[in-house]
Amino acid sequence: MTTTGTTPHSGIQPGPVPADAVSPSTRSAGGAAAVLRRLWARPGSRIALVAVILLVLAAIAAPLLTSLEGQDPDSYHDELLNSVTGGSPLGSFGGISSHHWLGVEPTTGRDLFARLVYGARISLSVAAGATIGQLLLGLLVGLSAGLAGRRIDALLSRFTDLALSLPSLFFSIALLAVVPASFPRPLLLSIILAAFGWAPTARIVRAETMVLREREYVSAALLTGASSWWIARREILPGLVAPVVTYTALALPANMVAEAGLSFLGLGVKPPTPSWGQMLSGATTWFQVDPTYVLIPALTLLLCVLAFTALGESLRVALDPKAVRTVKSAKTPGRFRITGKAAKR
Amino acid sequence: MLRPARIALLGLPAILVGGLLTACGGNSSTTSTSAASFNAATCQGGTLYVLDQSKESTGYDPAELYTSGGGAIPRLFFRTLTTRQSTSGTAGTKVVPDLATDTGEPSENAAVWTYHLKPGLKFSDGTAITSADIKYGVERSFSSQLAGGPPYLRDWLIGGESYQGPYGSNPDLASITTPDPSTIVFHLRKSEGDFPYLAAETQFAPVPKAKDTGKNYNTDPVSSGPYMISSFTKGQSLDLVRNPNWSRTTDSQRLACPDKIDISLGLSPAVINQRLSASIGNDADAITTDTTLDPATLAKIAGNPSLKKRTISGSFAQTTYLAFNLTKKPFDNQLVREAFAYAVDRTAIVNGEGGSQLATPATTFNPTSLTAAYHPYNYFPAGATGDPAKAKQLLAQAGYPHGLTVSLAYDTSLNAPDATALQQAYAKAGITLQLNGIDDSDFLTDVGNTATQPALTLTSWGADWPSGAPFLTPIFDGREIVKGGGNFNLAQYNSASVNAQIDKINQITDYATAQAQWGDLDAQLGKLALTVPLYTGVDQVLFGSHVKNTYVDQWRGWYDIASVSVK
Repeated sequence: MTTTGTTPHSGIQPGPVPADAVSPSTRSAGGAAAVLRRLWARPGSRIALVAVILLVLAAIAAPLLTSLEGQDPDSYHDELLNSVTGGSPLGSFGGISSHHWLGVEPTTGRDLFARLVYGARISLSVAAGATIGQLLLGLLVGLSAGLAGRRIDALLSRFTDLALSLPSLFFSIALLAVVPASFPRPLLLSIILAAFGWAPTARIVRAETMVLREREYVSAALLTGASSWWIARREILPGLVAPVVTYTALALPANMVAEAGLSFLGLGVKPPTPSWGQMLSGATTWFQVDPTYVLIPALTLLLCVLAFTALGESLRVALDPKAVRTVKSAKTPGRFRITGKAAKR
Repeated sequence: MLRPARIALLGLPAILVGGLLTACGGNSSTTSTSAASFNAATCQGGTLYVLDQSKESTGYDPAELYTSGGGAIPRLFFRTLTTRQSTSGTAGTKVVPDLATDTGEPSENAAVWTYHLKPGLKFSDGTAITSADIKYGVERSFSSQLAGGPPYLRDWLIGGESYQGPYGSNPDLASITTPDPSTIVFHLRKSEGDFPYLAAETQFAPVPKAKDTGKNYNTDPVSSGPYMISSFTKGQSLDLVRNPNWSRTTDSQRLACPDKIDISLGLSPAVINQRLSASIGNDADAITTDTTLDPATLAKIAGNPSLKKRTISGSFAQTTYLAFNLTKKPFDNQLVREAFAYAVDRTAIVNGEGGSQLATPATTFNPTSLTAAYHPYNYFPAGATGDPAKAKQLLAQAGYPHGLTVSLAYDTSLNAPDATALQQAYAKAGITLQLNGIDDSDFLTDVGNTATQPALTLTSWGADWPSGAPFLTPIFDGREIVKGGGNFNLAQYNSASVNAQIDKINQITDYATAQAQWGDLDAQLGKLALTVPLYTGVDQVLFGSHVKNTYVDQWRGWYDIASVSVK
């Protein structure tokens, strides 16, 4: 539920990340187009990529989609509810009809499709904001630790350890409860998720930096009198692209789950703004009477997280040419078994 | 001064504030199913199980309890001067003698009340109950270490505002006199025709001075009722056994059918409703005194006739309403207030509360379950779903042709669905409602302070007893505007003529006459649109398949634990 990142990055941190065999120049020569091509070449990755693109498009085009349906997320529809039976939706499957594609919410009659796509905006923007925040903080701390002297490294590393060991869920709950309601909620959620979730990125970046800074081309740059900033930006950063992008793609779904969890606990965006976590929390008591109401946000969240996670895995493979080669030569069906480091020796 | 019933009702949790039945007949029809095989003469025996979510962590000190009409469980071991009439329908809102021979002899202006005790009354230890024990019980409730009861005594009794209870240097409250062991006289500083209703609260239960253990009295109080505590573990269980010194001959209001009552405390609402609906083993002999059905469970039960038969539907007199602060713009303008009344969509609000089985739309401040004081009116008819056109027109007249934006304060744990429903309805009338949800723990502090009170508040009000006096006085009496916290007159309305009218009705001791006048006063105030009444809640409650005589009393809108039988 939290983003201290237990699962997604366990395969790549901290030590020998596949990047150590490939020089940054090779990577940049491959370029984004090549990565995309490799991504597209594999059917699993293709599905994940298409799913993610569709999801993002749906979130962006939420007003368009709902106007296509002829609904909006906040309007009440008393006429679609059976007031005598606790305000449950009329009709089967939670009131699914040609006017309400996914049915309506019990006790209010608000359109669930509209709330779902508008909820995707909150889910995605909070998760994206949190992930970018984690990325920037992680890069800053990781690069500093990796490039600065031993003392600063020790200090920053212990600080990272501390951040990793914080019970972030409790801290998030406490913080969300005390910040005044006037502060924009999605921004607050992003900030809190980022503040408690940067440590894994920092560790990866530090470890990678430690390896890269021993390379000849970095030593050469040092000899020419380049500044630390120059080295970090021009020599180290390109080498970090693969592990960082991979980790980021895996952190995003984790952040989505975290946002849903906090919303579920009533600490997310304020009503009537729709969010998936809130929908799930409202649906829990209804699962026996109106299962559709529970299944819709739950399945959507599941599919989203699955798509993003699969995309992250695919990106990892696509970013590592060696891994791709191994996959091809070994003709192993399962792409998860073959990771860069496993295939090397 | 008075408090909303959600804190005032001991044994009723905050979520289940009451409402009304559309017809009183609805009451008796639910009860008749179990009443058919019930005979009061032969109902004794068996063990009744009670499944409650309350933890009762403060125990049962009669001075500290805040009940309506003596509460559910406390009434099993505390008898009071008067009590509520145990019967279904409107008659259940009547107050009847309990320890006393009548409901009190008032003086000419209802400022002095005299009670005589029935002969042969005994505590559970066998000692006789005297008027001194009742005086001592009332005096204890003034002690600061036993605070928590209703505030009326301090306000009404002469010298009450400075009296510090029987433990201090000045132990005697002179305004309560006991001329002989069976007579007690209360001297009030003003006319209070409703005094017999207050005398049903647990503060009027006798406490033997010799057995008083101060703060520890709450775990093992001396019983005057049909049961006494055999064991009590706070947060877990309370077991009651018969009091051998109680007899039906002196008590006409408690049948006391079961031989034992086992109360489980601190259960979750879902567990209670699940166990009551399954009704397996001992749960067939089980009831609950504090857990209602939520909308989803109600929807589940709707398709199950056998469960429906085991559900009672009752109402506690409580109105959820919009309160305008007349000292703030734009609500100093009556046209704006009327516009807000016209734009309300009561159907959406009722559905948000769980539909017509759990809430009924209200257009009057006094709810219909307060039958005697209910004077129907609907001066600003919004129809079932609101009249945004009329509201827009009124707003234009008031100088807001392009609508307006206001902030709505509400208690997030009680009224969140109502607030979003209002926001939707008001949007159609050009009113942008910004939701200002306030946490339950801060709500009364923020709203009850005239300095910080918002312009628009969504809240609810319930009466401590079924009368117009505790319903209207705290809300509309200008002298009840409290500065610096604890204010409930949210309109801050102060009219000398209305205040005088309230004083005049308080002198009336005849219930029907007084209530009719409270009803008229409500209708008269309604014309000013000081509030927008929205709905009154309805409680749906399950009971075990083996439980009999589960009629609803209209005082509290619940079945009476002192009347049910498991035999």
